[in-house]
Amino acid sequence: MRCMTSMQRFEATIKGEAPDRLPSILYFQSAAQHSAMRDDVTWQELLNSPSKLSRNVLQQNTRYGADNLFLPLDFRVTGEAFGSTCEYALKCGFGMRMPVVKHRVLGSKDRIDDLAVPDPSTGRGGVVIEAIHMLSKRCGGTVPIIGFLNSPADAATDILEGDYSSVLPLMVTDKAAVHKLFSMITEYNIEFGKAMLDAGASALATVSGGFNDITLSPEQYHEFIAPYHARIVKRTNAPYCYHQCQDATPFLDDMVDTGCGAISFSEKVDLAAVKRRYGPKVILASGPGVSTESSIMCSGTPMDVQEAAFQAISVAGDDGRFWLSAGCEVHHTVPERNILALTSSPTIYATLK
Amino acid sequence: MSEELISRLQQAIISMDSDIAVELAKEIVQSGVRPSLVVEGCLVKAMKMVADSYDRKEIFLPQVLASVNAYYAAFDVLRPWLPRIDARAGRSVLIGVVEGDIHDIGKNLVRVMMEAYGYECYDLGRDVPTEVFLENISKHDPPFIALSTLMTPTMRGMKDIVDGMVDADIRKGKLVIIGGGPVDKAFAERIGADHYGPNIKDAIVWMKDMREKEAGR
Repeated sequence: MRCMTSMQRFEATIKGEAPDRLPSILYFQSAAQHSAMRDDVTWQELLNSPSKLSRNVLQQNTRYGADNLFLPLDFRVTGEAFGSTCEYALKCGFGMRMPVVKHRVLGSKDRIDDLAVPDPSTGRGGVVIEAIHMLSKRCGGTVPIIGFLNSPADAATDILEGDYSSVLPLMVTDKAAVHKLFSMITEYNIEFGKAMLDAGASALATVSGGFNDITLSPEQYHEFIAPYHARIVKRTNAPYCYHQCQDATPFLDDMVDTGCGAISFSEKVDLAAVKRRYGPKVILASGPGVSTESSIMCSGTPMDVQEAAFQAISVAGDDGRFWLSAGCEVHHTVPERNILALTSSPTIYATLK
Repeated sequence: MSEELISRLQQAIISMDSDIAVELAKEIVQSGVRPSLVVEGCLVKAMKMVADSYDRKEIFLPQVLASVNAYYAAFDVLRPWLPRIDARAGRSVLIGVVEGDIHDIGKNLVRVMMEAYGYECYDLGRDVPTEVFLENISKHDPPFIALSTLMTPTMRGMKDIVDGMVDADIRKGKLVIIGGGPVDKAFAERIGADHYGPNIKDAIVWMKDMREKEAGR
């Protein structure tokens, strides 16, 4: 089989055609901190400059071998667009971390009607759109760009004072307020998603992070989380990769029923069982774990990573409808050698096969 | 009459109704019932039932947090009439989320249950720098230090705090318990913490055991 570009590979998996090898699709910061340290830029500079952001994101492919480019690199774009403000502190890890919300625009749920759905180019949204333009020009359609939309529920915690401690109890004490807020955020996400697609993104992705099997019942998830993603899928009409943190098992039916193109989940989910149940319906994205200190991506050797990647590919990759990923955010404590081991695994696997 | 009020207050907390909880707490205060008995016999009992339901996955965090809000609404009414807890009597805890992490729901739930069980909590909040932990440990001299994080990249903050306590010579006589998604027993042992609490109940039981052990010496 001829060697495909990353874009051709990505598109083949979506169409259900056989790729030359499976793509490795990475999420979030994916060595952004390592690249930023090399480029000597701060987190604030990186996230607020289209040229710096695009240069950094490009390295996901050129340096680390991912078959995609993923941006924005943090969760706060939506909250900032609505008027919340962030601090770009340089405190932990290698001196970098995700922006922290310092002021939430909505002091009380009684003021939701005062909010307006912002224009997608508001705040850092404009930076992201411009960075996608730059990447699109640079890559010439050879590498898929995936535009990230924070899940409406998680974005609400960046907007309403009290964050999760406010949003979660409202799900039982004032459901109407929650739905009103999530609907507004969803409208923003749809417009921001469309703007990213217009700028050159090939697909959209989301992460449902804090609303998971530990926090919500399946019924609550069915009412408050999945319907908003279904609305985004329907209105953006683009491949949508839906990631659920923690153990996604109780929510998989709802995730698939949104009509998304791909579902992504951690190693806590039984990949073989999911493949058997949903395999033909949707692309699966998973792989070696990354979410705890003892996860393979964090503390394993490159050989451990490769072994886990091979295992995932053998379980879920036979029909080509599988993206090898780390199962969640590739954060800054993941050693570079393990990222490289992950992204090189599909090629080695295909060669050995 | 007072028994009926107490029973209704317990129900108000379980059914997550803050407004009714406040009204009932006020009525109870006016009725002359000793508020400390209300806390022990009603508020703590209600939160235990809520925690048990959560453990059994009968309810989830939206209901738990709504009950916590009702609990605090009632507790705040009773608080002025409650006796001060002597921090030196082995019932105080310094609690917080380590630097770089803003996830504090788990920490808040642990704090509620610790307070419900009669501990005085010095809550430092979230994203707390190591030096702030150390300053407050020196200042309050609590027997228990409870550290939380939900993120892998910030786990090292726990080690920094334990190491900092040793360096500052304030480790002796204090028990450090850690909790949160990415940490486990092995990590607790590796960083020199005294205990890993996989859930709230475990943390409370361990603290009680430690106090009894200390009292038995």
